[in-house]
Amino acid sequence: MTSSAFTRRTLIAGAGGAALLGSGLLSGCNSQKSEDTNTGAVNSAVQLPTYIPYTGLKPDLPGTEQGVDPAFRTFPTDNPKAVPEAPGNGETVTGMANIYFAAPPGPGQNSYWAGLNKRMNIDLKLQMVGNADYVQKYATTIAGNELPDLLQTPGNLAPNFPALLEKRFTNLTEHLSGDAIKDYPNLANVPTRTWKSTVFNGGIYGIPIPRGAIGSYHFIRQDLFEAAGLSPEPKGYDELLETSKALTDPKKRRWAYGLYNQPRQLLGRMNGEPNTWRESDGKLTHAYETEEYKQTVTDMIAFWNAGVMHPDSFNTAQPFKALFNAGTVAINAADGYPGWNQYILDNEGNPDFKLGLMPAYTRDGSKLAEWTYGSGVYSITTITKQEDPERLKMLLRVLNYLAAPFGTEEYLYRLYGENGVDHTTTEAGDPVLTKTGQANTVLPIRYLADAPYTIYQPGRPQDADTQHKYQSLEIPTGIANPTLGLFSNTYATKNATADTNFLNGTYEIVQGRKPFSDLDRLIDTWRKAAGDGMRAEYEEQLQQNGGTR
Amino acid sequence: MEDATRPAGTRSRRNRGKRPVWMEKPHPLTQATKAIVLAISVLLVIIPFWSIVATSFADQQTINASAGGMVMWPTGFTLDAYSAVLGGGVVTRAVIISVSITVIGTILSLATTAGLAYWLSRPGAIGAKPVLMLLLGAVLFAPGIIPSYLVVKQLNLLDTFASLILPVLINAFNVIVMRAFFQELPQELFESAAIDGASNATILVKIVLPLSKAVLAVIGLFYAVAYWNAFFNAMLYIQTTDKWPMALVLRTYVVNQTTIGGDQVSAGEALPPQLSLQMATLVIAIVPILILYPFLQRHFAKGVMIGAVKG
Repeated sequence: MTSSAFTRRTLIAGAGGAALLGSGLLSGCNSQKSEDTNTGAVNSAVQLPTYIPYTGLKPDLPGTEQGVDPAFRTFPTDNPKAVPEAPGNGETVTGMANIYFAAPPGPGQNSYWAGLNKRMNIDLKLQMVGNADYVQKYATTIAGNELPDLLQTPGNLAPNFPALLEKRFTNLTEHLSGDAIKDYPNLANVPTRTWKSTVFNGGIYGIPIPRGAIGSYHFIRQDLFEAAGLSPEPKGYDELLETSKALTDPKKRRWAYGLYNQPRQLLGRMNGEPNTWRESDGKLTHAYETEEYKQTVTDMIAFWNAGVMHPDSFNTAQPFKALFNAGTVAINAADGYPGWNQYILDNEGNPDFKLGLMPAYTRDGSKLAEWTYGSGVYSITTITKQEDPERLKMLLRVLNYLAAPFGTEEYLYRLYGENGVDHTTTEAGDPVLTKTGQANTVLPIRYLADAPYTIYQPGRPQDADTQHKYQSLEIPTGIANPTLGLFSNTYATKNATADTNFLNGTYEIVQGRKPFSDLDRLIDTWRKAAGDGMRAEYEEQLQQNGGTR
Repeated sequence: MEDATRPAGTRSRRNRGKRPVWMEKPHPLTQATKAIVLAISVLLVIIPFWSIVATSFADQQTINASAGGMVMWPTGFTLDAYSAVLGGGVVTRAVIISVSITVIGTILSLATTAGLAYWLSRPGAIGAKPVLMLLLGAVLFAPGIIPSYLVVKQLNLLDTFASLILPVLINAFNVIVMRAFFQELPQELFESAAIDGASNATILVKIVLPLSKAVLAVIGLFYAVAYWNAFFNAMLYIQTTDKWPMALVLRTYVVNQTTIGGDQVSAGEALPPQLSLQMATLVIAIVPILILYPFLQRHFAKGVMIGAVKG
């Protein structure tokens, strides 16, 4: 029998890998197992990488330590090199990440990919998986132990994730913690707040794919506001409701809001809900359990009854972006902030389209409401256990190359490819992808390592000011989720179902099919199903941490 | 006259007695109702189809004008969606791969299914009972994703085209349908062939298969459609995107772009307009089946009925 042959033993070994992922799902009884090594005490002892911002290029509008993203009005014409020499040594590097596009041609037919390999001096072999299938592919890849060098780990962590990390992935602490990260200056340019999400088992186990602290924007169709003669800054609940009513005209197929969750988040901020959890003296209260949340549900009932929401609002698969582009919905309240690029691009042919951002005020309208920050990471990239320490360093250098900051020579190539082939440059200096570039440059390397977010809208310098101003307004009012960077196995295994059940219950209440008093029962069910378990696990880690990190 | 004294209803009942009820000329009102019902049914099928085709040719402005929904009449006609899908060389390669897999896979599947079904259909064949039970078991209890993945991995089939064919080579349900068809064939044929000295293989090739064109066409179509549409195994087993079949490439167009929160899209990354792209993809995906179907259609009704009445 050859070594590759199929034996009972290899199957059992593989099944062991499957068990790593599956046991949490299959039985609740050992859900505490993974907590042994992943305690708050050891995790809080980890020294996060030193933050050394990149200074090679000066943004038109600077970012802040607190989380306002730097902004460029035009693409820098001078593109300095951020990585002096090729990171690789000609070896093959494998990676797996999700992709939102049609897969690009392979390196044989793709000059961009071939060029990237040459620049990094590696042979990059990428497995690309459609984002809708990524979780499943990830699970089978782990179970089959067929791990690439660089693996994108989805934001919703797998059950028993810390145990999985310890068994299969590299603890990067000695290479990245504190000043050690100076060897990888582009990774040192990644903000400290995003590194929290990579700490498990008392070590740094990955590279964060950083995202802006702002998380989401309250997008509005400013052209529709102006046409109706409305202020784009309604202050307080009453003004918001009046504005919403003025934007609604079902006969013309116009409503103020699309998805249910969007006005819910806007009202949540207005009512002062916590950012998922509220911590006080080491005790956690979930947003669902607060009086503020009840107020939001009451408000949502009023909104629904006022008819300002699209009739299909409770369908989570509602094509809200298309509705917003079409002007059917005027307020896209709580969509991810990079959506700005998307909406501008979608509406290039529509001269009337004007995108705006709406600040959130408190219920009485006296001041700005507290902003709830996003998680700050898209995913983390883990490195499989490497036998050769030199190879591990090479992989980190590759990630360092891929994280080259906005405007550098490496960044320009990574996003826009070769000038004249993959992109052309406008008179103002903005790179524009060609058809070839659109097909070739969509390699999901941006989900293996990425530079911190930078505000930039090609050909629209004024957009940089709009977004930067909005962020500068909202970021200082922000509150963070106190459980950010903590791992809860109950969350990984049970929260999704419990949360869906809870939300579906509130849909019934808002639509008037169930009485308001039903909310207490929903909260109780949610607590028993997942809430109390998550609370206990988070509180234990917070206590060992000595408060939020 | 007798008839004149009777109420109208009684007379018609007597008339009906002369010939069977289904041979009577239907009332015009009934006919009109039937026509309307049929027309509505046809429209229910045609309109979504038309809307898909129309939307695939529409530009973003037309889609916006129809409130972000489906387009019934593409005023702004553009082939952008098709050039986006078919450009870049990825789709052309994927089509070649998909066609090869579908053709080779269907031939192999038909050959193995027919062989297995013939064995299981012969009375008194050695070992047929346990194998039949195994097949029925496979219908009831499908293996999980991860065990299947492990088997494919241990057989060194990861990232090979064989991984798209071998794990789904035999469909238990199809074997059972085909076995039922073979059992319907007159036993005398087998006996006379055996007297003339034909081996089992000769009987299968020379007698059974030529008599089973209907069921072969139907099962063949089932297999072909399954191979053409299969994306999930490819997603799990194929690691190099150059080896992706059409269905997986199309899936990235349709599913990936439906519910992306903006937070997930990276800096500088912007997606092409979605709806027309998705509809163009749908059109491309159903065209081969539409081309194939008319040729097999005449066998289709007969073949399906075999499975329906006897199973």
